[in-house]
Amino acid sequence: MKNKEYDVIVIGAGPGGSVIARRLSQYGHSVLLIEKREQIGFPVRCGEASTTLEDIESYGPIDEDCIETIIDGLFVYGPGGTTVESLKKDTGIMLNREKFDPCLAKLAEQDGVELVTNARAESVSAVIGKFREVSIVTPEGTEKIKGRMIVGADGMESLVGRMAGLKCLHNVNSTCTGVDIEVEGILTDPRYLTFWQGHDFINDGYIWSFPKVKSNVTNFGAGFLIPKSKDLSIQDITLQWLYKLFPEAKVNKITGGLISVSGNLKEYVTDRLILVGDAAHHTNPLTGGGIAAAMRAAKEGAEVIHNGLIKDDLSKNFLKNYEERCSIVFGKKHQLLLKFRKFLLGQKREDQIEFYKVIKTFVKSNFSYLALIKCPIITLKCLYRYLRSSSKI
Amino acid sequence: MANKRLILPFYEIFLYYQTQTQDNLYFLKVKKLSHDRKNCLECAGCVGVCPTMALDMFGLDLQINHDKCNRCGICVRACPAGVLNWIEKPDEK
Ligand SMILES: Cc1cc2nc3c(=O)[nH]c(=O)nc-3n(C[C@H](O)[C@H](O)[C@H](O)COP(=O)(O)OP(=O)(O)OC[C@H]3O[C@@H](n4cnc5c(N)ncnc54)[C@H](O)[C@@H]3O)c2cc1C
Ligand code: SF4
Ligand code: SF4
Repeated sequence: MKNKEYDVIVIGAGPGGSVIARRLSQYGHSVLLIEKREQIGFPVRCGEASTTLEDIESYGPIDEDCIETIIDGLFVYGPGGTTVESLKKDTGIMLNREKFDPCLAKLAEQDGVELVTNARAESVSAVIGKFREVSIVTPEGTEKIKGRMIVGADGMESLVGRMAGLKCLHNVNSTCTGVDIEVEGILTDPRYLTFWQGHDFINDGYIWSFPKVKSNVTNFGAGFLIPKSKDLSIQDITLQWLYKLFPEAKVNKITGGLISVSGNLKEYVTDRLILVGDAAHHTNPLTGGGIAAAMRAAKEGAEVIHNGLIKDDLSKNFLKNYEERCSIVFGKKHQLLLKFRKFLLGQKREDQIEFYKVIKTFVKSNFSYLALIKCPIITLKCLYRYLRSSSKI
Repeated sequence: MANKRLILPFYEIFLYYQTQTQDNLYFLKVKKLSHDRKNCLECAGCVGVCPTMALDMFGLDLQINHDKCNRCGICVRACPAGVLNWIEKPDEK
């Protein structure tokens, strides 16, 4: 670390951390970005599907190598042989996060952020005057660095928040564990993200197959709620499904991780500290995707911190503004998706099949509600069940 | 032996029922979390669910603070690779 004091210390160089660091540096603040891994983005803990190219590119000039595939739709295999196909140009992209994460970090560095890898935040002190002190462990030793503002973007480990007294421990009942297996070749239609969901496959979550066309590999994986007891590991279950669906598959490597599906935390700011991305449980509670939300939260966070630094007000009350903004841009949507997930997973097999049929009609007619009139009884039944289940939650 | 059985906390009894088929002696022994580094996915999932902050990853190494661990077993359930397990605590002291 070159200095002993920074305006902002960002902990964790994932998508969330790198974006917020870069933006704050662009606003003219001195920023330190620390990452405990030696190589940023490695090993990857992700299925790598994300939002539209346009959205991703709004965060800076991304190398072309980072983008693997342009995705044009979704294909879902539901229970009882139902399928849902949704074709929409440029629904999203497949990233190569081994390149994407370092690329974002490099952009941040170019804009004046001081990036230190192999540096782990071990503890965060309480507010002392106008600072918080972070004790940073590197191979050379431990150093105490002062920051006027601390950003915890440490992903699903969420230790930084806990060090500062925030309740950001993952709740076992609303957290998924997932495994992502890189398989050689393209297994499913390269235009689509393919999913298997429901009682016939995995009900507490889903199985995915995401094509990475440039590298000619597929990310096959599965994620579901942490099991109550454990007979088989999630890795074994995923491998079993892989060989069941694609007996010829050749596995390159396996990664995994936690995915929070609880919806935004109740509270993720405190005096001179905010959490961004997975650390604040910003993941989408239906799909488990969190790259886009982490970057979006980072953008909002940077603006709020910038204002705070100018006004010299970084109290919890002022930073609440960041929570409100996140709630507006994706928090409310995530709450709805959370309800939807609980509803879908709570259905019996037969009811789930009916529901999938309704969804199929709806999607096929290009999301027109008129089409649902053709099958009024099932639609009303599903609607009734949904309303009943969401009033309970 | 009989005394020891009485003071065993709840979670140990719970774990006992989960694992008794594997090892009947389990119940009376103090357990220690073990980590199979070779097959670990280095995903740090266990770190995120540990309620006592007993786990942390530095570099790619998982560090277990056995004094902090309250043996709740959540990390064992959450580990996607199934490389966290209970072993009998060796006599250190
Ligand atoms: C199996 C799996 C599949 C997924 N699939 C998808 C998907 O298809 N699409 C999608 O959008 N999302 C997916 N996600 C979620 C996505 O990976 C995360 O939401 C995203 O990475 C969050 O970004 P982040 O910046 O918040 O945190 P991360 O990317 O996790 O970055 C946090 C960084 O902080 C570092 N760090 C942690 N603690 C410290 C410390 N104390 N000191 C210094 N550095 C520290 C870590 O090493 C890490 O590099 C998946 C997740 C998993 C586990
Ligand atoms: S058993 Fe519980 S307390 Fe011990 S390391 Fe695992 S999660 Fe933490
Ligand atoms: S959850 Fe399991 S695979 Fe992941 S880091 Fe911990 S021990 Fe390794």
